[in-house]
Amino acid sequence: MATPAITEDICDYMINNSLTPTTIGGLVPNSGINQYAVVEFPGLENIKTHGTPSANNTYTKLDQAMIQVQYRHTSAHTALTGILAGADLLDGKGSITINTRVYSFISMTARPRIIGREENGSLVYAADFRVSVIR
Amino acid sequence: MAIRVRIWSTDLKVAVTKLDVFGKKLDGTVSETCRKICEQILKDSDTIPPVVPVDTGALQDSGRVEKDGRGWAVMYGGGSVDYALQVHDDLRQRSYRRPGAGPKFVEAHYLRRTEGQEAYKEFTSDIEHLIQSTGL
Repeated sequence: MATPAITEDICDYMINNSLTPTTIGGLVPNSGINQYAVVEFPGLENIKTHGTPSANNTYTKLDQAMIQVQYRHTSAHTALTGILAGADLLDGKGSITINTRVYSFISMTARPRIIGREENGSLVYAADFRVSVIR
Repeated sequence: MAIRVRIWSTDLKVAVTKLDVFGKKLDGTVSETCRKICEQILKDSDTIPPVVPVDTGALQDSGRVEKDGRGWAVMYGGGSVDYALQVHDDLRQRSYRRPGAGPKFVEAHYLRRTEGQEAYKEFTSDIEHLIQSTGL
């Protein structure tokens, strides 16, 4: 199976669970829209192999990625509620199928915190996650 | 009919003494390895993309390795540099003055150095050296 588009899958998963609007790669700048964004950042070695070989001598391959979920809102309280909803949806998930791919685990590595304020006064919260998907 | 097999070291007292020395030095050796890895991550954060962004230079100058409990930590910020967390964690699009600069300039290198075999090899090498130096 080809390399999974992890940010797209997580974005779809959030949309399917009513966390919208959600974009890939970053918040739409200067739009004023209150929204979620899913952004990947580097660090992890991509593919790991685990387990014992199967009958045809192949290993289970895991793609791993670090992602940040951002949420922007003009109200600080609503922004916090929004990012917490994202954390509740993703943190601790295991063995879920998104777009035909099996995500073996998703765990939060950095708790929700404010990362900035935009020119229109909106607050941006973010939380980081480690994601592992079976290729 | 019973069989009794006895196994003993002719230098048992010496071996116990060496194990005692090894045990006392192990904590310091592991701590020193942690410090070396932190120093390498700090160096990476200023040399390998993503590198620490530079505007006034205050954030870059604040980079250091500090003792943290029984371990060590890579630190940026503190004092008047009260924006280190935002610069490090903010993945929103922005243009940096310094080529190669970007967010996660510590975490990306921490993950790369500790998730692969590099840190494991450092610890193994230093502990093997300690075993040899204590004569075990």
